[in-house]
Amino acid sequence: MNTAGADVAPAVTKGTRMSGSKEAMAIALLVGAALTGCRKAPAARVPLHHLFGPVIGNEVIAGWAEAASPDDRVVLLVGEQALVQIDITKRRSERHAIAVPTGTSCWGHARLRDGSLWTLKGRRGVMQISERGDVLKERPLDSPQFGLFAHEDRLLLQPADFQPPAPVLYAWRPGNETRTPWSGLRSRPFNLARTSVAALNMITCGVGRRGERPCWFPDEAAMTLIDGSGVMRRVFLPGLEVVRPEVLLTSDNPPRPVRDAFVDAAGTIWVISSGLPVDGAEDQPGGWILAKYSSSGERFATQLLAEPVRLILRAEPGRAVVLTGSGMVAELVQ
Amino acid sequence: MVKKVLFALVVLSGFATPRSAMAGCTTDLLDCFGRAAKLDSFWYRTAAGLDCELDYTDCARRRIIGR
Repeated sequence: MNTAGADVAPAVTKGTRMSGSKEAMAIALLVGAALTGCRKAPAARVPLHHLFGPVIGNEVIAGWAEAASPDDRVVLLVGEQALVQIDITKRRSERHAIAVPTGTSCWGHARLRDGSLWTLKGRRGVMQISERGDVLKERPLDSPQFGLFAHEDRLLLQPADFQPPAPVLYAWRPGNETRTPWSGLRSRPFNLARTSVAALNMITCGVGRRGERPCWFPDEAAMTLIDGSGVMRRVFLPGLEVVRPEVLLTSDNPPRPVRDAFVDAAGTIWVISSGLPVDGAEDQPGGWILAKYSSSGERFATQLLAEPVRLILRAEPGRAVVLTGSGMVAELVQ
Repeated sequence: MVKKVLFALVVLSGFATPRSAMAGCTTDLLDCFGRAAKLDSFWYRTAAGLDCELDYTDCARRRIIGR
């Protein structure tokens, strides 16, 4: 006779314990109920108030020139061959083809302090264009360029450089022959193919209303703020999702920590980050997270958006005007 | 030959998750290199290879810089 189980057997035989399968089911139900109870409800999404549009379709924005004054128009370079003027005050837009031969690609778009608009023509040319797309001046460059931005009276060019570390941006005053390195920003080495390294070192610059222009690399949750004399400082942006460079380079619509940024007059850094779409959302370009940081990178707020945003066209304390994934100009009130 | 094919498959598999337009940039680059490699002149071959790299960065730029 086995007496070892005698102490426990009575409980079973008296029917005070459930059978093994019933017990397991009960535990599963309890755990399931607990998990369901603990699961967070989906975070509320911040709605956008559409002002007008759509002003563009699902086409690549290759650059944009900020308004010269609060009443002035924003000009987007879209589809690499067209300009879209957006008049936020009058709530209207106009589209004009750039007068370049078919097949010519324009990239980068910038406005100098004198109001003139500039873009790259192919890889080795820079053009001054009117808001209606007329070519006003054209000048060949001695080397291929990846990007074009502006700061006050200088164009900022990013040469196609496959061998880091090297200066990322060069300042150039149209009419002047020399180009000089702009800030101490350097390209970064990676243990990847040189084409991938070049792609990861392509920089984007946003709008800065407090004397510093924000620029960022596609793989970093960080920003370099460069002032008018080229002095730069790095600001890290906590809380934004970063993916490995290999993922960034091999995804169709890769998650980008910073898709667009805008520094308002108070120094607040507004960031659009990829984030996750609403369940069942249409496939539209843009980021689903709006994050706000202090000038030194302290996080003020992170908000999930009800629809994706491609650009921050204007920002001021408590309010931003943005371009949505569906091409609408919309307002976001904080 | 078998080794080369296997190597190519391994390289491509690294670029192909997820299959995407960006992967299109990479396969375009490999195709472009393939065409450049067939040129007889060393200098033309080298220049064509550099153009392939610039084409790739144009393609990548639309994906990771374009907004």
